[in-house]
Amino acid sequence: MKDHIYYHRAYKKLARIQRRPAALLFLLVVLLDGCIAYWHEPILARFVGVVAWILDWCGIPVTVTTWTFLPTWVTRMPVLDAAGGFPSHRFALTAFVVSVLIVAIMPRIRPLPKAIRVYVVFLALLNSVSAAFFVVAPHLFPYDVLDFSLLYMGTQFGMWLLLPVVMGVALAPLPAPTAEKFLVIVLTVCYAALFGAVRYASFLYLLDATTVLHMAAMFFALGPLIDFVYMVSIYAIYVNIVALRLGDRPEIWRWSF
Amino acid sequence: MVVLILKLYVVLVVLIMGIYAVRHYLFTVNRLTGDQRLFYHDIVDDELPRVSVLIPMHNEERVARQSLESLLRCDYPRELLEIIPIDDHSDDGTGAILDEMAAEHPVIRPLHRHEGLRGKPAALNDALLVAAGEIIICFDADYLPGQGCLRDLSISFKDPEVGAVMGRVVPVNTRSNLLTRLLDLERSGGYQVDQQARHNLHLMPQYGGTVGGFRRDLALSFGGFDPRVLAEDTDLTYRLYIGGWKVAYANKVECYEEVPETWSVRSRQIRRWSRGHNYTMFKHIGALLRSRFLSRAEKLDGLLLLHIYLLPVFLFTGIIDSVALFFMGEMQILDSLLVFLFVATYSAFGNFAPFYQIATASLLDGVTHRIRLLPFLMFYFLLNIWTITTGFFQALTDRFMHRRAGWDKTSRFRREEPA
Repeated sequence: MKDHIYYHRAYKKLARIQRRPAALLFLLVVLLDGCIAYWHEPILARFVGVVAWILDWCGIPVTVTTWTFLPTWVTRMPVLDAAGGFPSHRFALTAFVVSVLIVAIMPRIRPLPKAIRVYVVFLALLNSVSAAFFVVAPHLFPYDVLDFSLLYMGTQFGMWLLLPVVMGVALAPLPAPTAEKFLVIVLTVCYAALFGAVRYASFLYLLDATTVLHMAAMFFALGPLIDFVYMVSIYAIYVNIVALRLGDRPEIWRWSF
Repeated sequence: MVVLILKLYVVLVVLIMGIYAVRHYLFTVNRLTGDQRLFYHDIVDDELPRVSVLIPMHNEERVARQSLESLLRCDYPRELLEIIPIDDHSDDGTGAILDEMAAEHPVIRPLHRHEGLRGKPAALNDALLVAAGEIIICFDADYLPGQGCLRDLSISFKDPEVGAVMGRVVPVNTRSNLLTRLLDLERSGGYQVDQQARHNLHLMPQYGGTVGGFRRDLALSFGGFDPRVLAEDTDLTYRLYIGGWKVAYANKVECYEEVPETWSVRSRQIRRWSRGHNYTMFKHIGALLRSRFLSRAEKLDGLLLLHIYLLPVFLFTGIIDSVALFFMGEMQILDSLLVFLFVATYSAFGNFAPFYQIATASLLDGVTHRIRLLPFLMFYFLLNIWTITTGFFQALTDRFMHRRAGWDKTSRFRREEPA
């Protein structure tokens, strides 16, 4: 006979969130964000330095330019500038035709999951619009590599500030030590910096190798959306660890109230 | 001026997503740590109501027999029970299976429909006219109810305020592939957290059209189900609430279902839901706001629930808007907003439930390793955006062009007898 019969999952619950650990976590998140904001100049300089080193190693010449934002508290933002290939009329036309063909053919490739097809079509559509721009009015394309760099760095910096907040809010109700949750948040930000550097270098490398035509597809398909994939991945791995731990501690569960 | 409008639209989308992200966060915290409102299943009463179980079936020979066998194993008193499987224009072996089982079990009284409109609402309307039960309990053809399911659902009608009841849906074919595992996560988030939290908070839990029941006289007083509506469950939910009735949610009443195993089948299913739900939105939004029976909190929750299938449309148009701004060279100022848009997007609509809600539900369900699949919901989210948006435009056309939507049956994948 069983010694214990545990609660049915329908009304299983945890004890109320304790205010002190939750407040401490939010305080730590605010401190982390504060540190990132206060030391943004050296952090961004180091980040850009690493990316410049990677690109230099790849043989792509880049220059560091410091952009000054007067109305915001982010006063100086170092970004990378590179030559970036400008597409010829023929290249733009070819890119347009290929992208339109992908848009037309992809929905018919049944063996591929529909979700993947939708994603590829989205990418191809963006690329076709960009290619059409360069076919019709190349001189009106509003971005060069420097503009793209500014957009990327602005987004990246915003992400570093937002990730701790989103992770903090998501992790707060979980039954785990505050220090451990904060460590997960710090690890996420560190990963964001590492991933961001590799992605920035890859973007600039590709813009140099394939022209600025692919800028839009790069930004919309592989930009901030992907940041949330790894954020959710880290969150999921941590919740999995918490779930396994809770399996050994059935006494933590309560029932109904 | 155009740029300003485009920018304001991005801000609007971000705000809407933010509202939903907060709503689902409150649900998550409530379900994980708040007081849980129990269902009625602890009531012991021998005066059970007479129940008619309706199961609409169109070409369901793969699953019909197992569903009926599961229902026959239910512990509901036979003298108070009738099971009406509705053979709705089937041209496979469904009708023969129903007749064969009816010959063996008098409690099964099949209804064969080969004339009139096809589709669940029309089938239910015909069955309501022949059903003898005061309580109607509905299942889809692939559902496998547990033994106590009928008793637990029907007991809720002892509460005179309850107009409908809804149980919890649990996928049975979870291990088939990545999609079924993702759908299991989605269902878990939707029922274990979302529905239960709305039940806890006295908001608007939804009648889902299957593993649920309603009062027969009430449905008839509404004139039956609207055959133009593909989401007859949402339609009934809103009719009930607007008329002063409540929907009870029974988290403990679990029933197994088969979820789609291919992305194209899931895509068609979700497009149908979007079309039906959005049609219902156009139909009930005014009455919901005017209803004198609903509290402000219920109205707000009802409004947000009614617009849930509009979110991907906002996202889709928001992305087009952002792309337009990008090519107009106006993205620079908006970069931080755009980031936030994607944050909110993924948080609030990574699925029908945000990632933290699904993770919490999995934790409560005792699921461990499957939680690691959460990031794969991104693919699901992309599919949702596209299919739900197309469903919305279909609903728009249906509503304003008075077009009648055809019923698209969900394909079944069952291969063997469940254990």
